[in-house]
Amino acid sequence: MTSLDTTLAEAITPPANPIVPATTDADWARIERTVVVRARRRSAAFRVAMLGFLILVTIAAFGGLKGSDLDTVPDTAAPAQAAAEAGTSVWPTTAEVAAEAGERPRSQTWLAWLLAFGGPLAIGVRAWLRAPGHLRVDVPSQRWARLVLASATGLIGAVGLGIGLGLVLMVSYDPLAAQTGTSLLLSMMRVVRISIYCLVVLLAVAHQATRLKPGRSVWRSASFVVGAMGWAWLWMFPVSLINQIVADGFTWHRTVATEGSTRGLWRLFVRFDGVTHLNSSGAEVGVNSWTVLAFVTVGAVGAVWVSRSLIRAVLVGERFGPVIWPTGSRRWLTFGLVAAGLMLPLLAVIGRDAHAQSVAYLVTVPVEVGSEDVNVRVERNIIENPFEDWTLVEVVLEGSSSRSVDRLQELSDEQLLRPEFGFSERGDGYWRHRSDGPQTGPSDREYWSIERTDSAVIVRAEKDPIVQFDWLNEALFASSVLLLAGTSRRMQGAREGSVMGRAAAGWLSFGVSVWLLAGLVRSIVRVEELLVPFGGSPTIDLLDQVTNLEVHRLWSPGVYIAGAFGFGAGALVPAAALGLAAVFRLTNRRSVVALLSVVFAVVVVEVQRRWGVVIDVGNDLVE
Amino acid sequence: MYTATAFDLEHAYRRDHARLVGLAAWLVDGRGLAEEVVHDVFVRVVENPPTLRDSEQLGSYLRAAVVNHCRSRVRRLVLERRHLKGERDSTDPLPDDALSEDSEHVRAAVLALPMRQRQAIVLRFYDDLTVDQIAEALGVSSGSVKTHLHRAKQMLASVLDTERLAERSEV
Repeated sequence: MTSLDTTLAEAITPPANPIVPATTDADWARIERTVVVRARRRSAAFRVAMLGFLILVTIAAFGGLKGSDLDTVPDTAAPAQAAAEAGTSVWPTTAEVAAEAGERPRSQTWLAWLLAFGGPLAIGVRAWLRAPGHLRVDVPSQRWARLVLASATGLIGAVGLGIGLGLVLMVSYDPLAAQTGTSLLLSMMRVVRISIYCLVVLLAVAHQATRLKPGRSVWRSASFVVGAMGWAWLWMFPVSLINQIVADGFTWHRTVATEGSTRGLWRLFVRFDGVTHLNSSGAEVGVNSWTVLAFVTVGAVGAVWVSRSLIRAVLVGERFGPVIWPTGSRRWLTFGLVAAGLMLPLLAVIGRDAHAQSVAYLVTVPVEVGSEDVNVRVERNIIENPFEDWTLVEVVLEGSSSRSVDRLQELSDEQLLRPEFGFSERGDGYWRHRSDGPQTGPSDREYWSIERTDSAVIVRAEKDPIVQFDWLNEALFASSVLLLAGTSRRMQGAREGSVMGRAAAGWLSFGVSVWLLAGLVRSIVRVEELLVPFGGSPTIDLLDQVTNLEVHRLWSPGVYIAGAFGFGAGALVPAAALGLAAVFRLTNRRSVVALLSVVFAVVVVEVQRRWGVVIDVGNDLVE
Repeated sequence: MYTATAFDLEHAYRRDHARLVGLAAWLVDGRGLAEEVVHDVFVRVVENPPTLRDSEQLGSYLRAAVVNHCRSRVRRLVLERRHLKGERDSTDPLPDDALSEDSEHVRAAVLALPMRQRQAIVLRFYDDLTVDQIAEALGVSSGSVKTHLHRAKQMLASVLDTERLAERSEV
């Protein structure tokens, strides 16, 4: 043993240690008391979460019941014929249908907005007031700063979350779907699904809020919330799966996904059902509830983080921006991963080009023909290849009996193009004549071909790809995962700070930049896309078109800004960080769970892909 | 498998509390903070009793929990001190008579070590653990522990006048 060892042994070994007073009964009682207090606090947070959930369910139920009064099937032939003669839109817009039904479109959304603010506001303010962080409660000069910080961040976070939830509710309610009656249950199920998502998020946030306590840094608290979002994201897999399996009991709406590529995992995260949505008014939703939810959750968290950082930068003088920058030799590894993350979108494009997406729907719907209802089995095959600028939709309509087959044959072409069969028309001539092949330009207004056989009617249509830049979602997700590799404390050589929170927040600003840029590009593309049917003429009443397309409201710059803060580097990042941590070091139980979650997700996708297990229920009947 | 009961934890608390506080006091700067760390650890294990291979593992589990919790607290302290510089000293120094002059000298040097090196050194000399046991407690490989110990000793040797200290201890 060296002299140093001797010195250390003599200095450090217990006899040389500070004298610790003997343990008393009171010490142990203090621990038991703390446990009780924490349990009470958890219970209180749970009650707040439940209250928020009940509010949301109330809103959702209100939206669903609203449609129950409108359960008559409209005569779709007349407006279609009139529209065809007039050379205008075949199918009415949501606003038109709502006006016809004597209501203002989405007139109840003000209630959704109002109530959606309540729960998040309560949770946000409560959580942030409990997290004084560096601005210590016991430092008088900082009390005012703490108050400002807590109030501002809580409010901003709540507003972000409220806006997002409002968007979810706006998307979830569809007057025309309710009016056709066939989608009423569907709408209700979607409401339930969204409510479950909200519950999961609220519980996750509430759970994390219980971990906040005086003296704990705002920094860590924020990271906990971000982490909670990530975990909520993972928890949604089983929740969603159970929801869908249960929903499959309703055989009238059965979706068979036959996605032919292995990109399912990304879709599971970003676009769960793998198809583009149009609501039954023909308005392209373009995003599903997963994506909207991502905007909701991480938008709120990101808003909190950025606002908090700004305020702290002003009040405390803290540097604004990434906290951790890679240093030393690991810098190149980190930057390499970042570069790989940026390159992956290109790979995603290449991969997508090689795999035309094929999704088949099998739906049985009641259809009113003349004065009677017949059941029609609708099989829709969608083959989408946005990068070759076409999407083929083939709809096979079969009657469930010889009588219904006969009735089906009686339907005119226009009558066949009804929402129940999955045909929607955005009013801008996007459907093309299949037999003529892909064409462009405003003159090509014939948009279907119909083949009648003895047993079925086959409608084929070709159209422009609906989401031309869908790959951005996937690419950004992939980028996030790889960017996250740089958040590993080991890789970054960070000496301090929590692995997940500090690093994720550090990269957040980078993610914001990427996402904003992507949003800008996408917005520009959208505008151009709008002009295509009109020959690119800028003289079109663009505003009118935009107001008929919810998607354009969703993708407006404001939403992008709200959602930008963290979609890539916010919610998904902590989840992926844990997964990466599990890969690099399987000593953390949470990491193992995260890894198992990813494995679970892969298994689900593979099962879906190989055996066509019903994986998604709750979409509109329309593409 | 064995899941710790409240009775086991209370017994472990009475048995190991002093030792764990002593250990924490070498990892965080201040005995009050060390007591707080141990308190938090016990609160958490009472809330979520660990499931272990056998009851013998409980002591090791608590030690690892204390070490990990100390690391978290130190991270936060660094941030707090950065922002509270000049306003308030958040450390809770040991009483003057708690340590000898030499021990205080060593203690200051140990506390100046990076966290991993500090943990390795303290576990090696405070709990007299082997390299493999330290690796298990820290969740790293044995090779990493050896590296940390080697670097820590290099740094301590450069700071401490070990020969003088050894002579004084012999006297």
